[in-house]
Amino acid sequence: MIDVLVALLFLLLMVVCAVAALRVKDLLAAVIIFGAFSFFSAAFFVVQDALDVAFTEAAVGAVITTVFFVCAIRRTTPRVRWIGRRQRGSYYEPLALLLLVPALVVLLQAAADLPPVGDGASAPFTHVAPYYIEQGHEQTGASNLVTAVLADYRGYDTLGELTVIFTAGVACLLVVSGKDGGSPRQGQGKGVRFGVGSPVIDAASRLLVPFMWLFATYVLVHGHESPGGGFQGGVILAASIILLRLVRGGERRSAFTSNHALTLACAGPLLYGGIGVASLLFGGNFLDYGALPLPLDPTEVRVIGTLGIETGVMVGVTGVLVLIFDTLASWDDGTV
Amino acid sequence: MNVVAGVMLVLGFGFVLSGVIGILRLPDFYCRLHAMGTCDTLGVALMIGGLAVSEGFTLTSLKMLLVLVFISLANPTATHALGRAAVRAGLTPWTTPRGEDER
Repeated sequence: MIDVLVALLFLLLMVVCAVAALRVKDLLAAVIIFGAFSFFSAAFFVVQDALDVAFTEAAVGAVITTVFFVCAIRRTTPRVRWIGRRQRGSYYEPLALLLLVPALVVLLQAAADLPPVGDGASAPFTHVAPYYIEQGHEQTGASNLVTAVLADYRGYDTLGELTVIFTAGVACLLVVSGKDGGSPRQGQGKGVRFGVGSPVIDAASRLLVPFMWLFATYVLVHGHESPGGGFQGGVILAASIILLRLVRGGERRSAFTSNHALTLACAGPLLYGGIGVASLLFGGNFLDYGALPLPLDPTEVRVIGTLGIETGVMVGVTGVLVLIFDTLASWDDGTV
Repeated sequence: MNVVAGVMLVLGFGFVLSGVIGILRLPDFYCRLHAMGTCDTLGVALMIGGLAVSEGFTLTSLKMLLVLVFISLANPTATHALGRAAVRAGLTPWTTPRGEDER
């Protein structure tokens, strides 16, 4: 009962944040409110026992997306000029209502057909879920069933996800950077410079970053047993690199350049697909990495294989996120 | 042990409450930042510390202590960063208008 109430509270706060983000006129304020929305969303996932998703939502939604939005706004303009200047006789609002009301009716209709939350007799719980729950640990060696499903049973889907992320990075690079062959545009616009030059922020971030790396690795390797995995580890790693870029002044001052990020972004999917092809070569199906010829138990081989593709996910996610950040931030000189 | 935990929780709650009142009532950004700093750092740290004490000596409480260390490191830095950004953006601190500061 108390769980349901807390979940409802977080949902309500999410709605409040969403409405506030729409109503506020300053885009930066909207971005901050959106960050709060993401935190409430993550908290909601925690209440619902979806810890892996909560992890990702907190790191991507609340932290990295906010940074991306701020960078994008810095490159453009912080105000929306057309909001608030309501034109007389504008036909947009009636048109929007005309479209939205049927959509709402359809959605409500669909929602009425959904099974009640936690109904054991509903379709998702009667087909493959019991099989995963009963066999998952034995077959894949993973205590965290999310990892078992994500990286083993549903390895194709995860490869698809990684490809989507990779495509997003490439698309961002294509849209934002000009003709100069992939490197972020230099010297145009103001560029984004945040905490450069403060000894306090510098010292604190330098103290934190090694532990962030350690935690990212822990999240990756321990994803078998506890919430976490490649996506979460990659996001934390990317967040630490972006933190260093924000504090110490950009890509040019970092040993980890944009080109390195691009290499990682490509290496991740390649590693994932490579493991798939390797298992194909050794007589299994694509991504059936139990077929890899390692001198270990079948379960242990699966664990190693899962770790391998999760590493691919982590490397790819890190590369793409840092790449998007570098593309959006577009440093002009990196000093203040 | 429970008494210690309770005292820490109540103290933490007091700091958070004072912070919230400060954010709502104080006149400008710097004052609100000052209120928020204590609420953010000491309030949250005390509350997590209280929870860790009531949990006893387990792995969970160790993790809570790690969160506590992280918070006491990250939150003051965040407060500092906010204040610094405001100064650099040219936000002038609030002062009483001339003539009103003498009773």
